[in-house]
Amino acid sequence: MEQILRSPGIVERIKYFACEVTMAILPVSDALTIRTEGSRVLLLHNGALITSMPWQAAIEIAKALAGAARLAQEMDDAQRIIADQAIVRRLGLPIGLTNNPRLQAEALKEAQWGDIRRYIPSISVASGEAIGTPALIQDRRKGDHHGKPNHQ
Amino acid sequence: MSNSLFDGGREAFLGGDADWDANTIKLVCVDHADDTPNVTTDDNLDDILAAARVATSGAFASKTKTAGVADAADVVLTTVTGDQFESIVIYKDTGTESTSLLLVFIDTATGLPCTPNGANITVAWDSGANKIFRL
Repeated sequence: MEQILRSPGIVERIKYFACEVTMAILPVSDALTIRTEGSRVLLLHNGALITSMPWQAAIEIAKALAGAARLAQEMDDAQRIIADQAIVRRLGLPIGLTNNPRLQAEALKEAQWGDIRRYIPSISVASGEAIGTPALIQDRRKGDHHGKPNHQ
Repeated sequence: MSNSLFDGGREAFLGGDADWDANTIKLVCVDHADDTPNVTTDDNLDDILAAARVATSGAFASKTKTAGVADAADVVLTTVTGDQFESIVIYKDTGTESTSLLLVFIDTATGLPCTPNGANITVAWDSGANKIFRL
């Protein structure tokens, strides 16, 4: 054994072999499996290879998948998000629970016209009207040299 | 009370029944000893008793409505006589009292209440941001 280990280049070959056989098996579902082989990431379905990609590509795809998944989750939770956003709007809090303009529009409608009005009834948009303060200036009567303009 | 729009005036603006620069707009001086305008329930000129109307102006000139701010040239009431008045009411004049919409109630102004002395009275509108009123 010692003789084998002393042979030239054996350590490098062992390291290479270890790298090739080291694999992480991450079961995603019963049918879908992700595993690694060396610097590549493999995606298998029922044991059959679907795709093999470099680890850099796998990271980029994972980020894109996570973003898409959050959007899909938002649509799945749309009713709850609309209800929560309507409460926030009704309370007058400047907090957005979603960036989706359609959900925001629905939440606005719910806040304005939905049943929530019965439970949070007192919040309303104040009128922005404002009335100026004019001045009435009364001239002096003819011949009234002692009179003053009526600035009361 | 304080300066305010009449409820009917608000409805008229929102419903397209009052057009600030296209309609004939006037003001009337009101003696509260005879009738105090109610911005909630009064909607047309006939809701203010004739006896309470001390003076009425001519049609406002140079009206503007830029950015929702109503403005006009200062109004001169000529040779005003009669009782002391406590407020002025701006209304849309249709020529018929029962359809002349009350728009703005002003009881907070420099020179109010005012006791006419027979001379002219100039109503100088606010030169600040709100002018006559702002929606």
